[in-house]
Amino acid sequence: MTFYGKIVEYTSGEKMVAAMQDQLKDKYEIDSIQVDWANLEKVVKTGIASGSPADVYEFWPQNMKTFVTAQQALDLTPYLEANGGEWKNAFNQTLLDLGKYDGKYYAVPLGSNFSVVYVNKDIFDKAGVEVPTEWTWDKFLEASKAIKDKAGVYPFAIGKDLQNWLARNGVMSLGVSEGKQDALAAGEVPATDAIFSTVLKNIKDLYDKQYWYPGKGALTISRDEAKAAFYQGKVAMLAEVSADARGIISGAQGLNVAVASWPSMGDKNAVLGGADGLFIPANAKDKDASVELLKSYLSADVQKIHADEGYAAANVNVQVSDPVVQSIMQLSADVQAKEFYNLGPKISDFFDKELISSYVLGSSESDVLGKLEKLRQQTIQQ
Amino acid sequence: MMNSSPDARIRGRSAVSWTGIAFLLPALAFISFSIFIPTVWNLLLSFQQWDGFKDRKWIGLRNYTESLKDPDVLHSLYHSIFLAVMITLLSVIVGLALAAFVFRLGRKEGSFYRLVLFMPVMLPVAIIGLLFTFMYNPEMGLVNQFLRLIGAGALADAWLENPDTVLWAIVVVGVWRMSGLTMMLIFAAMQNIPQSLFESARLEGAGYARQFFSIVLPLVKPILQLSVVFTLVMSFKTYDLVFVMTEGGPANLSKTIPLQMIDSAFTFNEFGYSAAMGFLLTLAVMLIISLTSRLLRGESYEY
Repeated sequence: MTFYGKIVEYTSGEKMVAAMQDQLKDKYEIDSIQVDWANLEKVVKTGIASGSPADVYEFWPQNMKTFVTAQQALDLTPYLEANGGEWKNAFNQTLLDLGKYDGKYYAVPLGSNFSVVYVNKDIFDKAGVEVPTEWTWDKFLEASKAIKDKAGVYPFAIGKDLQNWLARNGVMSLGVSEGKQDALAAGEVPATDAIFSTVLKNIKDLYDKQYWYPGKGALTISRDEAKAAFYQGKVAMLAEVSADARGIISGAQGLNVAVASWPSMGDKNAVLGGADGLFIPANAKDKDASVELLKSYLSADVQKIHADEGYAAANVNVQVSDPVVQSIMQLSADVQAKEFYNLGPKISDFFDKELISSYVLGSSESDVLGKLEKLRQQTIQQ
Repeated sequence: MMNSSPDARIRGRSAVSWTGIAFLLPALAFISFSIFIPTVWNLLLSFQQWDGFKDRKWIGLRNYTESLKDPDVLHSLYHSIFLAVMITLLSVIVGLALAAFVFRLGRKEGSFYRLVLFMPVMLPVAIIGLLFTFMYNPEMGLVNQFLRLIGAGALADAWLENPDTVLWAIVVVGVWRMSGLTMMLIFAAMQNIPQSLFESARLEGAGYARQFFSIVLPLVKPILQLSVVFTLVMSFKTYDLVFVMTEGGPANLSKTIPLQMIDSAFTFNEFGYSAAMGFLLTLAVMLIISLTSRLLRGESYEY
């Protein structure tokens, strides 16, 4: 059997897979494949289209719509609800519901994950800036100015794979503040709405003021380059996933690292996030065996390894004791799983590749948002 | 005594043909499965709507008419053609110049330079892409550091972000990679030119430049044509280099048709549309190769 879910970025990743292989060694020979996050959707779709997919795939439950619509994911509801919902009750229900579409479960969660800002406290102290638990975009820009002027380093870094977070978090925060979040997630708000315009202008402001490492070229910086700059003290803030807290803190040897919430463009904070999770392709060879694999991997025994390494597990029978992870968990209150970005693959792709870079590099607002509006209308019609 | 009657010769040729065909069968089967069958499958798919999972639906020419109206497809097609033509043109010019220089070197230093200049052709494209991504890094990259070192810091740029430089930055890498191939082919062809032609030219007072343009260039034209066609085909297929260096960005400003095809098929679940794009690219490649072959058609000389 093939398990496409080995997460090498987590220190627990290989250990969990080894524990699952050990649990099932008498029944199945399990090959595990490392998750290619940057190309995950393509990898999964290629596997499914080939007719010989992996038996289990890693994917974000909140982003499963593309597979659910194409009937490419197995309905896990009967398995979850069997024996009085024994398996279902083992999960954090909020995280489990992220993989629920039209009343059916298509993915199960591994652990919560969302966008946060890691802060170099020493640089903040030098610039006389407090590490905030909550802050608006204006406060974020003020802090960035102080950091640039007083500490002489770049205030903020984000890798190009994560760049869409700037726009997604902005749209969500403004959406929540204006009471339009549900309408946005349902695709009912046109891209000509002032929310999108404000988001684009705010991001361009960050770029034009050279607060975004390394100034010119910020749009093409890789995630590794952004991390390296943060570790080297060239950057005061790094945008990254909450789940990688242990890795980032251990990578930033000697630095005083803290975690801050994402700056909100609206009055209320809202950050993108949800869960890392797993699903079974609808054309998996042996569906019952695939479910057995999932149950083993997400069992309390295996998930304890995840928690012991300092990660927040979705299995409620496993407790998190690490104080850093506990502090990150407090920030998860602002997480919004349903967002405009997930309306359809063409909209996600536009956010990933064009929205920010087109506008920052000189395309007019009407051109950029006009294209987004066209995609929104196409997606709704489909 | 050998039987030399016409019937026997025909029988002999026939036996040889069957042996030849038998030897070619494995290669034919491999090529059929890896090229001919996928090509026909791709052509059929281009007339269908298919999400990669559910039943396929015949939709006639709709994929073609829509892709020819789609600005994203047209931009990607333009980027593919721009990269292929520029990489080919420049790498052939550079390759020719390198061959001309290397031809003048002694045996040992000639071998050394040929090895060094041919090495990029042998390197994996992913490695080359990564190498140049680091070199183009706006802050720490070798290119900008060198410019700062020589006091030309004002020219330092974000080469892979600037819409005016991103395609040219990829062209430079393509030329670096492919010019060694042209050099090697032209150099090999130059080796076959009789020394007496150069000696006669020298006696007539022609310098090396004149000898190169009046003797070498006309005589190596068939090889030059081969090199151009080969480089064009390789450059048109550019997927890995662009993917590693820019992933088609920023803002799809360097996205080529192969990248657009992958997105259409595996992100948007539009396999038929993707197949139509592939066929349009094939037509563009065939057209440009046939034009190039016509332009570079040279005479064959015997010497």
